[in-house]
Amino acid sequence: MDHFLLLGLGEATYAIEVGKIKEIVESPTVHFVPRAPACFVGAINVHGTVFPVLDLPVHLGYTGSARDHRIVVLAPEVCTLALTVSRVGRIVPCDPERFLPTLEQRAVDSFGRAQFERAGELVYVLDLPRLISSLTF
Amino acid sequence: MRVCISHKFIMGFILVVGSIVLFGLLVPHLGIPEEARQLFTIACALLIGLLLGWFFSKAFTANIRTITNAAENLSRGDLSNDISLRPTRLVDETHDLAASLNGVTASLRELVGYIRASSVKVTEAARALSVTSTQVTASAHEVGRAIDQISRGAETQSRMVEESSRTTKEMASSIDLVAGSAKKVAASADDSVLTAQKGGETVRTTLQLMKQVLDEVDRIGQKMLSFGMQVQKIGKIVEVITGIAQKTNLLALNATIEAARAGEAGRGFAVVAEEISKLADSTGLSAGEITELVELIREENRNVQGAMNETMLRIDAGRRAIDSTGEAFEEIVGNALDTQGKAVRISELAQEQTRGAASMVSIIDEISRVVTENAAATEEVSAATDEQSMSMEELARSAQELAGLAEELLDRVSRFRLEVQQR
Repeated sequence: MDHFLLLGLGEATYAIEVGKIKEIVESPTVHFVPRAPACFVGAINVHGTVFPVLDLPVHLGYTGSARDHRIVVLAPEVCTLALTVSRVGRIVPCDPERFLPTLEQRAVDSFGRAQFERAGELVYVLDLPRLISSLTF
Repeated sequence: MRVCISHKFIMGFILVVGSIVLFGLLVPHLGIPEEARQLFTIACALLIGLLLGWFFSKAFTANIRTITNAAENLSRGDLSNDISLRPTRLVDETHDLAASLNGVTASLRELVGYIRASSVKVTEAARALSVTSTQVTASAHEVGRAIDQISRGAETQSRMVEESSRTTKEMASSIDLVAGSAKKVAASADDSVLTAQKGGETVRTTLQLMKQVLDEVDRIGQKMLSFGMQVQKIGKIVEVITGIAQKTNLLALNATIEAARAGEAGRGFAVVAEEISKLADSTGLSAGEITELVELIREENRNVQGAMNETMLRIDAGRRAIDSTGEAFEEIVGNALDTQGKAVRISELAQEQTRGAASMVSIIDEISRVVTENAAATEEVSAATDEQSMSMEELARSAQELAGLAEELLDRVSRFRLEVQQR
């Protein structure tokens, strides 16, 4: 049984495995990074380590949505990256056997490696390696 | 010399006898044969007798004829001629007869002249009387018409007087009604005064109550203000609680993440962290509800403040209205008192008018009585005038008859000729 942190991006709901998250920080000071791409809002200092902050809703095309004051910091072994989201949800358990089959094209479009249903709502499991590989500088 | 006719005859006879004797004596001297002497004598005597007879009878006959003619004229009514016989020395009975006839004619002439003059006068008088009586009749008719008019006028007058009497009585009853109404008005004005005074009292009481209400509303406003401040404090506290809940939630999330990363070792901790997260969630939800409630309360408070401000304004307006109502009531009291006085005065005047109307009614009744008497008198006069008119007509007829009689008399008398013809 894996645990997922639910994230809201616009109207859609995504999920990230809890093991791939370092922590969630609240209202950190976001430092401006010169010449950074538009999808990066700046950089934050988390316990002495600097994390670039990716505007995930903008990057995934959910423009015009609100931004939660909390920022999700990914585990260093995954990537030195922090993500802004529209809202931070709860941590929910889910068995990978309950994942629903996904069309390839749809998975590509939504950066979801899998999807499951929760409370009548479709939740995409964020494909972190693809996301990271999409961040080519 | 007067000689009777018989004497004349005797004288003639004597002359005849004397002539016979005379001729008897003369004849022998005339140379007449003896045989013819007697015959001659008789013839001469006869001739003398015839001559005497002719002479006498001629005169006598002429007189008789004249008298006869005069008598015939008289019988025809010609009184104009006197009989005049041929003058003679030997006056006889024919002259006496003529004189007598002349006396009769003169008497008749005088009588007829008198009758004619009288009948002319009578005719004129009768005509004048007729004319006068006709005029009098006309005047009487005129008077009759005038009296009829007066009679009709008197009837009209009587009707009008009755009408006046009726109208005056109606007026009197109307005035009675007015008096009654005026009394009622006075009573109503009394009631109005009392009611208005009560109203004034009520207004004063209401004003006091309004002031109390205003003070109360003021106090409630102050309380509402302090209540609002308290609610704001609650809001701030709830904000703090919300912040704590969010932080707790974050901590719980991070604890859950840490527990997940710790694997099996962190499983118990994960359960605790989840419970803490749920608690924080429910705290957050409750805090949100409280915030909503606080917002609602603040909104309501604002509404109440606004309503109270409006109420204050309205109460002020109400106080002003009540003030003006009080003044209006005082004015009403004044007006009602004035009305009461006027109504009482009207009532008194109406009573006076009633008395006046009653006396007017009695006067009109008196007038009516006089008018009725006048009408009766006029009818009597009219009847008398009619009678007079009829009498005058009778008189006129009589006068006309009299005139006719006089004319007839005149006509009868007019065939007598009276003028004396001079021969």
